[in-house]
This record gives sequence, C-alpha cells and structure tokens, in this order.
Amino acid sequence: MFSDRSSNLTWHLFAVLAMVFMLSPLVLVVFFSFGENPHSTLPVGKLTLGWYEKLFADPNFWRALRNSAVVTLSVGVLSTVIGTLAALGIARWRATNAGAALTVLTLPVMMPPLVLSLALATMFSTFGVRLGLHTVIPSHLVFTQPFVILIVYAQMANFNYAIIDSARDLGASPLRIFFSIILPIISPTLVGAALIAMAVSLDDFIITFFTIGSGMTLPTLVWGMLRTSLDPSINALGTLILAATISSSMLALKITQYRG
Amino acid sequence: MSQQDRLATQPNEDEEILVRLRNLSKRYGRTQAVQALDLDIRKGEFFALLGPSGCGKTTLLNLIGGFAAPSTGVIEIDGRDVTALGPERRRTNMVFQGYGLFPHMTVRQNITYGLQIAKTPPDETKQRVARVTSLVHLTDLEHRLPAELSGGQQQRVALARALVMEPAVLLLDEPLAALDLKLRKAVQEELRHLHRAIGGTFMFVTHDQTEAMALANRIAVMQDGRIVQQGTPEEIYANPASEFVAGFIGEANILHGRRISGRIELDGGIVMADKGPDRRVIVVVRPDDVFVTDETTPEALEVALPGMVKDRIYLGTHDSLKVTLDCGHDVVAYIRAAHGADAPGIGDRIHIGWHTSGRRIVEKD
Ligand SMILES: Nc1ncnc2c1ncn2[C@@H]1O[C@H](COP(=O)(O)OP(=O)(O)OP(=O)(O)O)[C@@H](O)[C@H]1O
Ligand SMILES: [Mg+2]
Repeated sequence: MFSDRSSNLTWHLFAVLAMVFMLSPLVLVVFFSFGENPHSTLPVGKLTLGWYEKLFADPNFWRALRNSAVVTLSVGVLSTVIGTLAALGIARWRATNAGAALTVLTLPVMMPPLVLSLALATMFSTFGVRLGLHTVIPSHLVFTQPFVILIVYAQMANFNYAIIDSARDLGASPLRIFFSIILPIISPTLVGAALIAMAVSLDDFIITFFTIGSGMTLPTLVWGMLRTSLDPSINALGTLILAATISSSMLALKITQYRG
Repeated sequence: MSQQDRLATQPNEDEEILVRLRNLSKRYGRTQAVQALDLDIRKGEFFALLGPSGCGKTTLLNLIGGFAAPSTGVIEIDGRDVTALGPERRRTNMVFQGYGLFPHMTVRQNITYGLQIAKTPPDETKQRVARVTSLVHLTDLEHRLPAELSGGQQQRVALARALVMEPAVLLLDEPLAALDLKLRKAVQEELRHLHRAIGGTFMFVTHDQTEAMALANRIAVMQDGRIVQQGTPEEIYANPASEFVAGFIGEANILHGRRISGRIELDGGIVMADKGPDRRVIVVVRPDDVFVTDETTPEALEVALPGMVKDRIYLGTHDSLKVTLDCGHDVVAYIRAAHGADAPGIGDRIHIGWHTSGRRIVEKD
C-alpha cells in the first residue's frame, strides 16, 4: 500500500517536472508579451497590452494575418476533401496494398522539412512557376494531407460494413449511402482532421519560407521581426499563434474523441 | 364448382417454390466457398442452413441477398431470375450478424429508412411501423439510439427494420449468436411466434444444431460448400445420410465396421444382420436408444454387450452413462434419472444393447 503510493508520487513528480521543462519557454513567451520591459528579460516590469497595440498598428501584421488565413483555410478545406476521398478509396483495397499506399503517402511527413522544401522550391523553379500563396497552398497540402488520410483511413478501417450492406439491402443508392450514412458517421472525424491540418499549416515556417517568394505569413513575419526589432511585440505575435494552434488542436482532439 | 374444389385441395400453396438455386457456386481465389449447389425453398418455410464454421453458410446467404455475385449458377426468387440484380432490387431483406444498425439514427429512423427510400406514403409508413414495432416489442424505445439499447433490443430493431419491408424472404445470419443463453431462448420463441404471425418465408444460418432443430421446419446441412442432406429436423435426426451429419446433429455413438455377406461386423466382434452390398459402414446409435439390459433377458434387443461404467453424469432429466465395452468401444447411454438407486454406478459391470429400430446403418463412401 505504502510503496504503491510513494511510487505513484514519484511518477507524478516526474510528470510535473517534464511538463515544467517543456512548457517553460512557452510560458516565458506569453509572460514577456504582457510586460513593459522592452528587452524580454527579467524582471518584466509592469503589466501592459502595449506590445499588442504596437503589433496591431503594424500593416505587415495584417498582411501576414490575411495571408495566413487564406493559406490555412484553403489547406484545411482542400486537404480534407482530397484526403477523405483518397482514404475512402484506399479503405476498399486489400490490407497489404492499403498499408503500402499509406506508407508512400505518409513519406512527406517522415522526410526532413528542409529537404521537402528544397524539393518543392526546385520543382517550382524548374517549371518556371512564380512563387506566391498559390505555390504555398499545394506545398502545404503535401504534408497536411497524410494526416487527413491516416485519420480517415483509421476510421474507415474500423467501419462496420454491415451498416453499408444494410443500407443497400433497404434500397439505398451509393450516393444516398454516402450522404445519409457514411458522411454523418464520419463527419466528427472529418472536422477533427481538418482542424489538425489547419494547425499544422498555420505554424509551418520552413516550407512556407521556401515557397512563398516575397510575401509573408505569420510564421515568416516572426522570423522577419526577429532579425529587425527584438522587442516583445514578437512575443505578442507568438502568443497569438500559440493560442490559435493550441485551440484548434484541442478542438480537434475533443471532436475526434467524442463518441456519444 | 367441382373444379374449384379440386383447386382448393391442391397443395400448391405449400409447395410453391420461392427461392430456387441451380448449380450455384462461389469461388474466392482458391477457396470454393459454395460448390455447384441446388436448393429449393418453399413459400412459408422456416428454413435453417446448418453447418460448421467456414462451410459457406454466410456466403450462400450473401448470394441469395445479392451481396456477392455467384461464380456460376442461377438464383430465382418468386419465379424471377435475380442473379444479376443487387440487393436493393431484390425482394429479400437481411438481418446481419452484427445487426448493422445505423448508429446516428434513432430506432424509428432506422426502421423507416427503407420505407422512405421506397417513397411509402406517410400514413402507410405509420401503420407498418406501428405493426412491426408492436410485433417485436419496441414501441417504447422508438426514440432511442442503437447505442442506448441492450443486445437483445438491438437484435429486435434489426429484425423490425427488415420485416417492415415485407420481404418475400427474410434472411437471418446467425441471428442469435451474440445473445446469452437465456435471451437466446426468449428470442427463439419470439422468432417462432413472428413466423407464425406473419406467415412469411424465413431462412436462417446457424452452426448450432439445437437452434436449427428448435426453429426450423426444414434444415439443410452444409459441409465444405455443399448441401449434404436436407429434410425436416426429425428426418435428419433419425436418418443421417453420413457420418458427418450423424455427428453434427445431436449426440451419437458412431461405431465403425464393415458389411460382409449380409452381416455387419464391427471391430471387436459385434455382429448384426443387415442386407446390402459388401462395404465399409458405420452404425449410428443415439444415446437415448441405448439400453442397459440384464444379461439374462437380451431377447428384445439386437445385441447385448458386456462392459464397465466409466463415468456417470447427472443431467437433470436423465443420467449420461459412459460405458467402455469389453470389445474396446466407448458408448454413451442416457438412462432416466428416475431409475434412482438401482441405476448402475461408476465401476459397475453391465450389459448394454439396442433395438434394431434404434440403430442406423450408414454406408461409407
Ligand atoms: N470475402 C472473402 N474473401 C475470401 N474468402 C472468403 C470471403 N468470404 C468467405 N471466404 C471464405 O469462404 C469460406 C466460407 O466462408 P463463410 O463466411 O461463408 O463461412 P460460414 O459458414 O458463414 O462460417 P461461420 O460459421 O464461421 O460464419 C471460408 O473458407 C472463408 O474463408
Ligand atoms: Mg458466417
């Protein structure tokens, strides 16, 4: 009894320490963004929202926000639609073939982002494509789609096909089965997959940096600001990105795990 | 008038063939799941497809329901060739082994799904749903989701969803397999009642011979994709066509031997008279046809064989005796529990035997 409890306590301690270690840089970013000290050092000084005001007054911030919004939303929608269709197709294959297909499709996620970025940039320049948001979006799709495919495939692999056979038995056409049976059952998964794709896309820096040309998104703006002005308005921007990423990931987790 | 009488007495209602399978086979790669099979199912029958796991029962049901296309052969339902039609265009409905309920729809939405597709008018829908839900006792549960139902209730929703379509043939794949013993007995009762109340044609798959005997008025026994025997439960029990059927339907003592010039000789020197060609045979004796006899009065029995009681199990209505005969065979005999004190116990030396009418000779191929 006693040893049980004490070993439990040790594990708790480890868990807490690990969390402090992992979270402290993030906590500092948030912390400095609300302090008056312009050098992002301790002590932070009085509480202020001044750095946020400075950030919001910067036209570059609004440009980057708009671009990030366009990219994130497009990537969310496109990768969900394309990824779902691919997953539905693969789910009909034999398990061995499906496994091979999934391995190939998830390669972009395994590859070092830098290599992937180089490959994409090289490809665009080879074909003489001018860089811009229209090159960022398909580039993001390359590494967000695998997430969608894996998530939807996992759901379809566990799908009870007797449900689909029942619907056919009761006279339903394939189209009707898709819209009245499959889609309602997998829609929480789809929303979750879209949110994860968006979270991944929103905070990507390397691939965006190589494929955007002269424009900017929020992460590339952070990079630019780091090189010019080192005041806590970067921390304010970091905090905003952090909040957006975390909340969409949390929402995704909540939605995909929620099963009545 | 006289002609009408003649028509009325013709047994055509009972004899009408509803499902006709001819030379039906289904191959999956190298597995021949169903092999050149002929089968007729008559209108109004409660038909059981019985066989061990993997013998092709589900495959055969799927072929009839239209969920798989046969490799060869023809399927006719109600006189119409439906071989090329999908399940949505056959007058069959299936209750799947896992039920296949729509998890995001209430019980009522599940049941009305097919009627909506068929564009059934609202008041007719209402009537049919009310009738079927009261038949399967689901009236109070209409607004629940499948996840909020017990296994037995889910099973009844699946049944109601299929029945409401008023199929020519209701197909059931191991409908009771997921239920515990007590519930299974109750649902068996309910299925029998439903079959009587509706007067439809039911065809169900099972690997449980007691379930097949309890429910069906005709049974087909399947082995390796073929039907090896069909008939009423009584016929199959009393007259198994092969060692496989004898062993599969009910408990049986199976003794191996050969027939030589009009006599059956079992290993160990048991001899019985039986006419027929010389060949290897098995003798099938049901445990309730085995009698414990007195050495001095064996006249009524065909044989009287000495042996020793090895085990005795009390089974409520009867005792099961396991007797090892002096000639080496093990034989199981059921004796009435009422025999009480003078019934033989473990280690007792006794004689057992059977009547000529209580044993069956099956020729081996
Ligand atoms: N889709 C399929 N692909 C390949 N082989 C299959 C397929 N479906 C069935 N089989 C094979 O066909 C044979 C018959 O299978 P079936 O499911 O009809 O058996 P069953 O009698 O219903 O068995 P059980 O009582 O276990 O359900 C088996 O050997 C099985 O492995
Ligand atoms: Mg089966």
